[in-house]
Amino acid sequence: MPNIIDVSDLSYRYQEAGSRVLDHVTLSVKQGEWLAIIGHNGSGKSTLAKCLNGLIQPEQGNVVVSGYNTKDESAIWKIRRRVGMVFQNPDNQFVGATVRDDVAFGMENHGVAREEMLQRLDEALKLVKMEAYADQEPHRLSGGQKQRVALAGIVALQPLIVILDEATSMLDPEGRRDVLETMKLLNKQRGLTVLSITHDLDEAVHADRLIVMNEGKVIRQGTPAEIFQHAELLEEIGLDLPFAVKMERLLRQRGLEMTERPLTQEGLVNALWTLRSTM
Amino acid sequence: MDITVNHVTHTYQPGTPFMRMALNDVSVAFPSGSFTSIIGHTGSGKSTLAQHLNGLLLPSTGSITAGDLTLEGGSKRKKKKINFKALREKVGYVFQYPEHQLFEETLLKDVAFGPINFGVPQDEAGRRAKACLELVHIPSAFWERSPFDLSGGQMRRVAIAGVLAVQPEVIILDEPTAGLDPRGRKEIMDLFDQLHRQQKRTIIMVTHNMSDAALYSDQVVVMNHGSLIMAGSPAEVFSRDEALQRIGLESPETMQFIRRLAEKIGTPQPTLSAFTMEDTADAVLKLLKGDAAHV
Amino acid sequence: MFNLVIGQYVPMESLVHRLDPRSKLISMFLFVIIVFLANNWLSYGLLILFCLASITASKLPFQFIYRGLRSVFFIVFLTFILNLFFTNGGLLLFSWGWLHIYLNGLIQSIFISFRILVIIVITTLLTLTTSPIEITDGLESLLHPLKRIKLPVHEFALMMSISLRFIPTLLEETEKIIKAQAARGSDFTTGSIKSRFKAVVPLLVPLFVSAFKRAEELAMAMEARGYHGDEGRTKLHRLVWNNRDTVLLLILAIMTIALILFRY
Repeated sequence: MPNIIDVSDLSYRYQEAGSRVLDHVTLSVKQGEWLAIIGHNGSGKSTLAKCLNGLIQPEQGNVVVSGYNTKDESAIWKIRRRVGMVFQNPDNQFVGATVRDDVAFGMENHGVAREEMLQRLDEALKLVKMEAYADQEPHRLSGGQKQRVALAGIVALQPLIVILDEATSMLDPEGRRDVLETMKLLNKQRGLTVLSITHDLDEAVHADRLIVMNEGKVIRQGTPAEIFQHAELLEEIGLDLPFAVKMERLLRQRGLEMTERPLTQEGLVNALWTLRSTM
Repeated sequence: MDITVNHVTHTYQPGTPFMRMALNDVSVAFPSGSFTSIIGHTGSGKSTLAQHLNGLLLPSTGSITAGDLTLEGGSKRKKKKINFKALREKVGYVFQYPEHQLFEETLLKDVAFGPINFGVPQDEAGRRAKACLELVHIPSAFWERSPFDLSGGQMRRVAIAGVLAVQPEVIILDEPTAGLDPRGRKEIMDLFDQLHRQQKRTIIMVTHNMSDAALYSDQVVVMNHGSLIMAGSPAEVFSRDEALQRIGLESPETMQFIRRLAEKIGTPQPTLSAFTMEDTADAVLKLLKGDAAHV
Repeated sequence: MFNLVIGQYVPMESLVHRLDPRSKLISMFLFVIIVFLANNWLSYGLLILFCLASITASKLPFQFIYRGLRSVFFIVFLTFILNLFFTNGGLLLFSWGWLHIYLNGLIQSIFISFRILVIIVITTLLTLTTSPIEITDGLESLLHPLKRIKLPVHEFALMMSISLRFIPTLLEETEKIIKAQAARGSDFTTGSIKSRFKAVVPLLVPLFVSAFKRAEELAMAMEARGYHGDEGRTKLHRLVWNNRDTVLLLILAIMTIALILFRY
């Protein structure tokens, strides 16, 4: 799969005298994958996200999105059309007076013709299961519903990639579940590339690939299985571990030796069941 | 201080097209020194119930007794003036995203705001502010700085210190860990667990986090559509998995895991509950050894 | 605490609801102007007839209109009283001490009260039958020619619609901060003016801080969603001028002529 985003040697700091929020970051995003970036608050992950659609310009290094460098001012709107972004606070990104208006906002900005807009609007709302709320005002919606409207607004622009910048952290469990399910659908069925910045490790274990950030640096990249092999390292930088990983470790301390290291509850149950039949 | 809720009903915007019954005949007791978690969906009436406990909302019908103070609903209320200040001094309230309430020039002034409102002398309020900032682990180098220079997690802790400085007997928490990273969540929960265990403060926490509810509470109250569905110890409440699932709530991860494993192995569902990771690991060992009856 | 109904728009199906916001806006402005042409029973009769016809065509229950009027009854009453006692001329109807009521004064008072009432009925009708977003779109379209003289018409319209969208959010936030500070012993309702004024600071500072934070985040989200002014921008809402809109303007034109004729 080709890369749709290439970040090379990216550094950034908010104040000239301050320390680097991003410190020589190099990474790439492949088309169609689900990539999760984890790290505690202040590790630089949100700043990184804002570099990927040119909201922040690198101090050093380059960000290239499907061939366009974010430093190229003439390409910036092309880049933003290809890189959709859902932010943390559902309220502070809802521009429209109603759901329809909000979904249309991005398309209006990018000059999508009205006939085309109407068609894409219906389609996008159906995809996130919000078609019944098309004429609702934002203050009548839950946080999860608002985030799904934000997703519809992005999908309608037919982007290459959606970046979720802690998009589920202010939601209740139900809202979180709904947003994640919608994202999985978009990733699997529509082949949309997803970059999710998150604290939710049970979400991270379902990613195709994980990037761990700490103090502005990428300290690990790999599959979830590879990353969670090094439980101690993650705990050291203040990250939690998925339930199954913690449980597996406790069971190992109690003398249960499993051949694999499952990342999900389901995997652990199966591993224990296999183990029991050999006991 | 004991708080008792007697048949409380609360109606929002009565007599308008927007009328909505937010609480429907709720009765529950929060004994002195206990830790209660209130769980339920968004809009189930959790926060509405909590806001009745220090008089931020008043019952439409029914009554609430807090110590020697009684808040009556309906027509009985207008006859006497309620001493809200006395109540709120004893019942502190940490709102969801409490960092939004910070306003003073310095951390110390902000934390002292509550005590001064309740008539504590300046120097005593200052002493309390320092003690509380220490308690929430804010280094003294920050104390004279503006709260708006802090990180989100630090602001949250300062706001909590501002409530603790009043020295309330009862502390109400509305989703105290919402939006924090795992490290920040643990710090906050450890703090309240410590206040509960060491200082015997009564804690009432509104939460979506079932694991926290199970781990820290003596009592779990389940709300749905404005009604109290069940109340009891975590073990009692979380053993009724089906009843919880019916209203769309899940058990803590530890319980889910034990149930899944028991189901896979084909042993009868274990009756006892495990909420800590260690207890769960021990339970798993017993299950595997076919010792299910004693799990 | 905030039992206000924000935005009085009542979504319904009616002839008035279906009218183009531009024709409604033009008619309203025109109506407010021609009201001042009326100076006799015939012309006021015509204006009232127009109001009643508009209300009927909007299918709105009269109580909605009444609710809008209730808040201004005091002003109407005050104007009535002032005109009643301070207009001289004509037959002396009533005299008590230094108070005199003349026939001209009575007629004048009734006319002025009707003048205020019909203006309020028509403006209320506009906001009841036109959603804020339609009003914004209508204004933007009507003011479009002003862009030639470099007036930021599009930005003004966007600003207006974003403000309307955030009113409920900010009210909710205000309520929450009032409660949070009340829980910390702050008291906004009792005490001297000075202490009440001081109690507003813990409310205003957090509100401003949060409004600025929201504005910053919203600006970033808008930029991420490709907003860069109205250059090359398309619009979801298309205003369609129908025959009924032309008819409405014609009615207004005829009324204007009639009012001028009735005057002499």
